[in-house]
Amino acid sequence: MVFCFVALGIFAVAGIFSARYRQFAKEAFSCAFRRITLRKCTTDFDNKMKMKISTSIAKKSPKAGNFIYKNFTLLSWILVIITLASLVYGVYGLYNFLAFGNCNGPNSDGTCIYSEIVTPECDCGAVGCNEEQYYGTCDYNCECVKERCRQA
Amino acid sequence: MNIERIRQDFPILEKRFGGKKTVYLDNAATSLTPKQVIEAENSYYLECNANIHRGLHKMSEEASRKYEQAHADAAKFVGAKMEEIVFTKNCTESINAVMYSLLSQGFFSPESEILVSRLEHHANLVPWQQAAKRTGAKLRFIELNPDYTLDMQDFEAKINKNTKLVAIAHASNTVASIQPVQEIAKIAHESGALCLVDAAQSVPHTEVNVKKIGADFLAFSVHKMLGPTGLGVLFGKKELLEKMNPFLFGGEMIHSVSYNSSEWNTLPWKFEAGTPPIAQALGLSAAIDYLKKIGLSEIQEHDRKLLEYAFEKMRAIPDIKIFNPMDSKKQGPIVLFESKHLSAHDLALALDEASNIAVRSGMHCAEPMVSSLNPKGLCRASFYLYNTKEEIDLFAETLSRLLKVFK
Repeated sequence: MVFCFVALGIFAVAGIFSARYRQFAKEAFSCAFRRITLRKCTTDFDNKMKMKISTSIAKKSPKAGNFIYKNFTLLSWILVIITLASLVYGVYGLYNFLAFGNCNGPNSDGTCIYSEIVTPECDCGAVGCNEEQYYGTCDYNCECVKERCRQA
Repeated sequence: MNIERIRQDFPILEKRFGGKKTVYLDNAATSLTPKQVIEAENSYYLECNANIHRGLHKMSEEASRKYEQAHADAAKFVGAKMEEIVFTKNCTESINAVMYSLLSQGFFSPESEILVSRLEHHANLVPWQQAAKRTGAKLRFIELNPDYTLDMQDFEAKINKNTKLVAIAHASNTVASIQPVQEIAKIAHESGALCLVDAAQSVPHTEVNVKKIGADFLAFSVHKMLGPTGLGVLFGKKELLEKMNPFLFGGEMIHSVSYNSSEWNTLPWKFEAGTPPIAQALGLSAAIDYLKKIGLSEIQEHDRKLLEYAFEKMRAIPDIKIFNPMDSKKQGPIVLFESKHLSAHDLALALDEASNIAVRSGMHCAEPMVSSLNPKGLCRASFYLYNTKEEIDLFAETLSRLLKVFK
């Protein structure tokens, strides 16, 4: 079973906010680590999660609960593939962002999540924009516009 | 027996997970603890937190008196003399104490035979495996009848003049069958063998009298009879304990010590090396008081009613197979079962998730026995004095619903 790989990411984040999920994150890590090192998972973590999830869902929808119970391995693989695909796409976007200033690649002005994270709240306008301002924070002497400064 | 009033003594029964109370059906693993026992254990730390048999000050004297009283209470509870009651860490250690002591005296030889049953808990199997391994003795097994009770004919056929010890569970922790230990002890003695009874599953539920049973040793756990964890009891006949070597050495168990030799203390302290579990012993006294106040015959009757009710409910659930004698006179309050559609672990997890129902799953520390019934393990629901018919209703309803959902 591969659910521990997906669970590790989810519970690592959820664990920041709740001690309960921190314990799950530890179990998921232990399980994932053992899988990577080609050993058997000793905590029965995947199965525990399978029953928790399918039983909880079955309370509201028995059919959905049964579906998850019976197809848990397949669903886990789908989630792992989606997670891996997202990861690859994310890393590729980061590379584009660092190389070309936009995660969609050169000559693109599409939305880029990294720009939102890295770019200061306001940026200097094109007029008077220089390299220092591009890499630095917003200069209070500049007039702030939404558009980001670009290198020539 | 006023169950509602009894339940008020167990604060943990009010604990909620996701807004729902827990239905505790794992009593064969450990029982819940009433507030009287918790208070008694606390009273050691609040009133007489001192080591026993060492200090001359008042606190130590009070702790010593209460600790000795716990031995007296335990002795009276099982019809023994105070010096015949040894406190250990748990039932497993009690059995190991006998095993190591007999081993140290060369009790077993390559010609010896040790007779145990097929249904033993690991605690009453592994020590004798080791004894056989270390001495070359032969470990033999008494077979079971189809209803999981002991095959007495097989027992009588297997016991012989080479049999040095018969080690048997009074009540099984899996199939729950009750063994005729009185008869077994008699037959063992006629053959010249010693008899050890593992009474971990019987002492909490029924009146046990060591004189009536006639066994040489009887071991049980305190945490299964409303007491605290970390304390076990070993009964041994005085004349045997006097001859036996201690298996733990150090303080408390000695009478005098020189650089080259030591003399052992009197019974039972000879077998209690080091600082003992004093607070837990006070808890044991309170647990015994509690059980006596309600009455073991009342508890046994309540257990029987619950068991019969559980059988009635579970028989109505399709795809469930039960591995018990299915007769409340032949067994303890345990239902061992499997389902066609869910593994034991899946079922236990689902019961917990769906309705906070705590049952045990797996091999139940009796792997040879359980794996012979289902190599993947079984589920076990076990009842005690605070369980109710309503809880069994919820258990049966949830079980039935889950089996329909996960069919």
